[in-house]
Amino acid sequence: MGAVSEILAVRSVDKTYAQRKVVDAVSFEVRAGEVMGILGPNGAGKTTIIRMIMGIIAPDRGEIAYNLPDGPSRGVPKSRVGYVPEERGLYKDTRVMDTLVYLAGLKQVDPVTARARARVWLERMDLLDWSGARVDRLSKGMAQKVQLIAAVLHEPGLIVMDEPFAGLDPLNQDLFKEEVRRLAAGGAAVLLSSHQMNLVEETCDRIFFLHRGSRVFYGDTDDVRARFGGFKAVLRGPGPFTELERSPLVASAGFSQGSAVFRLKPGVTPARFAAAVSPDAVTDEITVARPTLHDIFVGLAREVLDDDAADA
Amino acid sequence: MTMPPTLKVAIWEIMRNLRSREFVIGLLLSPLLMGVFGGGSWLLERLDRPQRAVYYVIDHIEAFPRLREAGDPEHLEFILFTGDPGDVRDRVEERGAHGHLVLNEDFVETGRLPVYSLRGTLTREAALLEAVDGLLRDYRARLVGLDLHTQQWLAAPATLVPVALDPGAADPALRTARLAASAGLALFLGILIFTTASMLFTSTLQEKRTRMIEVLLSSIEPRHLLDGKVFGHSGLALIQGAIFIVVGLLANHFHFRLPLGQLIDVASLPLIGFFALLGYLLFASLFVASGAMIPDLESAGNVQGTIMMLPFLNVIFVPPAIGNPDGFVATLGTLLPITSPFVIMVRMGLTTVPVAELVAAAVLLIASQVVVGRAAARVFRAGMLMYGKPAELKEIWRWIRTP
Repeated sequence: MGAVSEILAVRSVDKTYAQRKVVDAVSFEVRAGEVMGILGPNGAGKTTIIRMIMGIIAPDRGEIAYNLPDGPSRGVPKSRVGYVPEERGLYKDTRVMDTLVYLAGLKQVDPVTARARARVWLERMDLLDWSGARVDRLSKGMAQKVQLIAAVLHEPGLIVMDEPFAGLDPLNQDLFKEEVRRLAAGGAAVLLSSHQMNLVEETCDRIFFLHRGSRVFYGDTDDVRARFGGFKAVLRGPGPFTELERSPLVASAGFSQGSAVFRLKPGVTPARFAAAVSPDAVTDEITVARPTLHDIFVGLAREVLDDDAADA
Repeated sequence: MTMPPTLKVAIWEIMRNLRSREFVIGLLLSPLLMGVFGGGSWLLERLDRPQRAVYYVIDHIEAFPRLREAGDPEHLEFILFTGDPGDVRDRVEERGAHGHLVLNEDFVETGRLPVYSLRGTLTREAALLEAVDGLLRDYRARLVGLDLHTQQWLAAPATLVPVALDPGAADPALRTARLAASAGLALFLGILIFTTASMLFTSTLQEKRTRMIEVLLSSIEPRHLLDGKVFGHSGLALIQGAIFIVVGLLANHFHFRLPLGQLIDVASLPLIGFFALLGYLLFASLFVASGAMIPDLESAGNVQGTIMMLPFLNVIFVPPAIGNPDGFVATLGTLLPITSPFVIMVRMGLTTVPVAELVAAAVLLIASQVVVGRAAARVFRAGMLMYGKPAELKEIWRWIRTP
């Protein structure tokens, strides 16, 4: 991708609170048409990074550059950026349509256009009948949909979402996933943070894995799985499979009643591993697959925590 | 032409509150409550008025007609009892009267008049005393041969008559009425400031609690949001004030019929309005900053509590300013930005406030509004994103110093 498609560039950004560095030299880019995910355990610094991107707080050091299609901007181009905060914020005592038109107005969208766009979005989200309802009458899922609409009604070039899937039921998660992908397909750059690895895996093109304010990994989701995940093999049946634990192909193994799980060393192909399984081991089923992001996330987080413990 | 964000926020705040049930109820309820509290004592007095005290009189000195003349017929009724004095108690009880009294030589001599009632209590005591006192003076004067004119001359008490050397000064009765009108205006402004600025405080707190603030600050600058909120609530205060004034004028037109043109110096109203607006903006900035400092109402600390109590400083300054509108306390209250709108309002109804003091008060009020407004914006910017605990004095000071 060329430099023009880099809608957002975060360069060597630091933030310190009460003498504790919560974001340390973080750098990444978000490109037009892609969904980028920020991952990390609680307290990793995800929300702080997002708030700095949104200009709600200022970084102590480093640079955040915005290069939206209508030209680069020194500060946050607030009318061209959409934001879904971690904890949803809507006026409880106002009507859905009034809220959407007001928030779009703050993003320089005139009331007539805002109203027309809001109707389209509300219909798509199956909320048109609720446009005249007070926000406090909506269910949590409905309110989250309204929050998403409020963030995109001004057709932003960059959309920043802090934990957008949190608290949604599976149907609404799918709906959100679909809308996020659709927004990116429409040319917007989408940056989201999430704990739900399966959703990140299904939604994001690239990820930035963060721990204690520092980068652990940054790249394509497929690259992550290729780099950090040797294959994971699951063997089911009476076995015995214990011999395989000592195999040079295996990085680690775990056993339970009637099954065994092996993490293969990087570069070991499924075929090589299958060939290494002894014909004497009674096997009903062999599954070899790339690890999920969840497995990688948990593994990396454990490694980092172990390193921290060793440093201490 | 694109509308400035401050104006958008201000219009939103006004419309949102005008459509809110709580605001409308409050708006209608406030004049009603003011009416209830203001007119309550008058109403109670009206209810109380029909009760007259009835006393039977045994007259041994032929003074009954004069007693009847001296008594206020609205409050007292005297009935001459000519039967057996031993039966008077039965008559009193039978007629539901309040008691009986005996006019005799002993009363003329000593001035002591026993009043007999079932429980020894006196109904309409003040009116009764006034009647009996008048009777006694008149009776004694006649005994020593004084004519009516001499009697009245002897009985007339001393009175103080204020005389203004300035021919343009108001007469004393008008002055008292003006004092009441000025105090009423100051009270009106106080209620207006406190109710609408409290609404601003609550609205700020609500935006912080619901995290709406993050959405807003991702769209506009904190300063625009703060200004929009302050201006919006100023607009609400004006609407509320206008409604109160219309209700007040209607009540005056149909019921009280007070000569408002004489009571309120219409020429000074623009100046009063100017100081009232500056005072409102000052309090609004303080209240909005106070709301930004705390996560919820329950966690308000000493700093926030002190800010919320600042309007009550006027309780200390206004009464001495009424008592001595040209005194030191009045001047001090005029110059102190927190109290100047109220003190000036009261003083302008009572005296001619020196122009130099008005100019100095305006300069100080504007300067403090600029300083407080800027500090409030900084506190607002930092405080609105701090969740979970109220800000400490050290933090607040750091926010104020951070550009």
